[in-house]
Amino acid sequence: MKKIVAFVVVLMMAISLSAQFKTGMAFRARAEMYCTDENVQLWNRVTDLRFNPWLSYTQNEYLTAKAVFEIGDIGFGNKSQGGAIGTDGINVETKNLFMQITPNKENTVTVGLQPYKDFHSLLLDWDVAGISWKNNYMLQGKELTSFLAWFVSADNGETYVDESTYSLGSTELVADFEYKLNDKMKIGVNNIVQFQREEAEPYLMAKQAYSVVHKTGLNLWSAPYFAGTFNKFYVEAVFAANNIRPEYEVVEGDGDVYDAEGEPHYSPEHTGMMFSLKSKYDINEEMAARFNFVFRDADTDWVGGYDTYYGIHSYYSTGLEILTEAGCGLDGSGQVFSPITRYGSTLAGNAGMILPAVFFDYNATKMVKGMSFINNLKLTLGIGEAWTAFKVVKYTDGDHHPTPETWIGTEIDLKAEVKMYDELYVTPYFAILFPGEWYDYNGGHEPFTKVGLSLKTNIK
Amino acid sequence: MKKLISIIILFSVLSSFAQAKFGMQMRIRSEFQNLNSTDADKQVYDRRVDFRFRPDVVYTINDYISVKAVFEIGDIQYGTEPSADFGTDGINLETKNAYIDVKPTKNHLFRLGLIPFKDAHSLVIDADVAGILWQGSFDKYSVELGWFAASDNGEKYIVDDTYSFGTTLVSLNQTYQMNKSIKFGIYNLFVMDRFEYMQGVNRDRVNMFLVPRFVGEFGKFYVDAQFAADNEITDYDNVGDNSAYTQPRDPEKTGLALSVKSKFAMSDMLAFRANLLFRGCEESAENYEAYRSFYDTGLEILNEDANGISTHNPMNAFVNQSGTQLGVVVPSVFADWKFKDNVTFTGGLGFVMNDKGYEQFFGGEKKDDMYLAMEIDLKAKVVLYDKIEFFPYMAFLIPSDGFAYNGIGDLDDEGEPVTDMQMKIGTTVKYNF
Repeated sequence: MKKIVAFVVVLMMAISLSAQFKTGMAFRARAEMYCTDENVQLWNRVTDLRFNPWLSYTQNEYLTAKAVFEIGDIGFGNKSQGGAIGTDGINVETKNLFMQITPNKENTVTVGLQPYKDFHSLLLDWDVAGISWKNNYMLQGKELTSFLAWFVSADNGETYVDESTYSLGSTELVADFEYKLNDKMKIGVNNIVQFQREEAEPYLMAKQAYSVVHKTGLNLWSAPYFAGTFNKFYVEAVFAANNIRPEYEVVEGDGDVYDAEGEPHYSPEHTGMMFSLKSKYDINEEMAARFNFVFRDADTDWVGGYDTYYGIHSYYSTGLEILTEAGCGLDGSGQVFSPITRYGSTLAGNAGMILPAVFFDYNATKMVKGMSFINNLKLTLGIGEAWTAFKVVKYTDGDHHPTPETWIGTEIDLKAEVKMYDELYVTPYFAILFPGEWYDYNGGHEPFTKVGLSLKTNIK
Repeated sequence: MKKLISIIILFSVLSSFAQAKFGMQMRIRSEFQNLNSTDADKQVYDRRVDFRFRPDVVYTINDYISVKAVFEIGDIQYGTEPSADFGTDGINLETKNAYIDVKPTKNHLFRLGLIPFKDAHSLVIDADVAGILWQGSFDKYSVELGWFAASDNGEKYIVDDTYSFGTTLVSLNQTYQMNKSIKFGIYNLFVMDRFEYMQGVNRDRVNMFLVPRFVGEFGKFYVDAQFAADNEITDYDNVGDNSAYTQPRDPEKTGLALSVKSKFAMSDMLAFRANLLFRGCEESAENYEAYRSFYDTGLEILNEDANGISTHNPMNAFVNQSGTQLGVVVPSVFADWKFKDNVTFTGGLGFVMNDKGYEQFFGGEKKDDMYLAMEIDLKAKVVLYDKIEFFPYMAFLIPSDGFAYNGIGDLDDEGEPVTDMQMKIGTTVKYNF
């Protein structure tokens, strides 16, 4: 009995000592060779590293502080990123830094630089400064989760104009709700209201060249969603809509506000819609099929083309590697083709997108059972086909010949996800996008290709 | 017994939280020196204090995987902007190393990330560099194979092809432990560099370093010798058919270097050391040029990796009138007297001379002096509280005429060399937390 008591006492002491301070680190390395230049076969080669060390201090059951840093993205050999010989890059960034107050287990208040994302990362998936309150409430025996937040995404200071003070920047109010219908189904909605004021370019917007013009925006996003499991079938779907309402006001000087066509009272209120579906069907223990679908609406007005969906800072994954915002490879400009922000311009209007994609996942762990260091092996074949939602007039390079475009391209991916040594995730991948008429109306365009390897581990 | 069991349990519980380990290296250097001139009338007595911290963190996930990050805060000089002047607040936290180790077996290690990397004598490379490294151990034979991206200046599409610009290193280090006393090694570094010489013209340069090494311990005598040969081949490729391009002189060249470090322990209290650096050429002016050396001659002034701050670097500071490096030989001897367990005094004497007489013209006269300068050092190593290391030192350099002909010493108004003594006094403090 004394031994048990001694053990319990020592265990409690050790846990209480160690629970006050926790630390960990996430690591990611990506090596990729890709050719996604629209005009020439330029093969870029990049290897990069990112480390995310984090610290968490728990003062008591009510109070916790957490800091997450980011060292990266460090490109091998890249001097400005600290990856060239000699290293010593000043590249330690503060990613998150917040304090959490938990008055009871149903409520959590978070203050500071915190991560936020909506259900499918269609609206906002970023780190942002602000204050948020998460509440769990039992409604008719089922859990209702609410998340209310005030974020400041940009503060560009105040200016004193014409006997008044104007605050420039962007503020977001978030109201998310999620309700569990039962163990297998849930519904929810992500809502964001953005208040925006920025100084518009006066030479474009006002008659008088030196007038001060403010753009004041009241922008709304709403995205109801559903997720459900039906035996071997799992589905989640999001419908997202935005309503952007900018007002232009001459706050100092004379003159009216004009639009690009020279019409007065430029106020291009616009609305956009997007639909995202992700589903999975378990064929058997080793095989699964997934079907994803994206629809983004379009506006073919060549002058404006504003009536289309876009997020505040989306980070959407279609499951593919090129036609996506969040693949497992490099995801910078020119490295992925975003289905939300690409395929349109002020000269062509916004073409929108229809993108169905199917994936076949095969759990091949049994095939490598002789290799004890491999814990899990999944092979994936993915095929996606992208069209513009509407035909738009696009000016091709060089000859300025207007061409209607519909077929963007067909992407085929081959991927393996390997879990090694319990905690190391290795993902080699190959992706090829056969471009359609969007890229070359006359045909014959070379395919876009990515081949790479991603390495990840997460230490807690 | 119960207490013992409790303590064992306590340690076993704590060990489950021992995945993260933190540490830090600290270094403070203060120095007073006049190495800026060999003319006593012009010498500036420069006073400088700097400090550097290197915090590190190691996370161990399991027997196979660990991650390490080393940061550097420094080198911060007292009173200089922006870090150490009034108000401080410098943004000076640098990432020095950050890598993941995967160790599938106890004899093999794969390392990926920003890695510290050097050859045995730091005669070829001693730097932090991004890449991947494999270390394997097979009984008496061990091997290191690495691929590194020293610089990446992107890709460019020229005519019908993609050209990647930058510098890639491939390194192979092999060691064979012949017996308890003798070890042989051979180190190879291949440096492949592509640079846009002019529009449409690529300059491809390959440096091949071949570096055999011998380490022997024979009773009280220890010797570690490393020879290095660098063969540099440069090729120009007019891939863009630039009509303005003309072929430069074929600059293939070879350089040779030798580093010997030896020690003779006369007694428990007294030891003598003799070091030699030779950095020279096979022919003409084809001197050995390291890729990124950090060589320690053991001296305080004629050194690249001294305790103090300012030095005359024998790896690249000695040049002719057109800036081309001249070969040097730096022999040095040291006597180490262990005064107490924690106090060792060292006296050092070293010379620097050219590896041959380089003909240069000063004031219309041909000068080919080989002897350049002599250095005398007095220093100590004091360890306090088991951990804090103090390195106080005094060093004096007595230059000759040749010191000026090698681009370091001063010439007077008549063009004659000025050979006033140079000195430095300082203390370096190191502590590992």
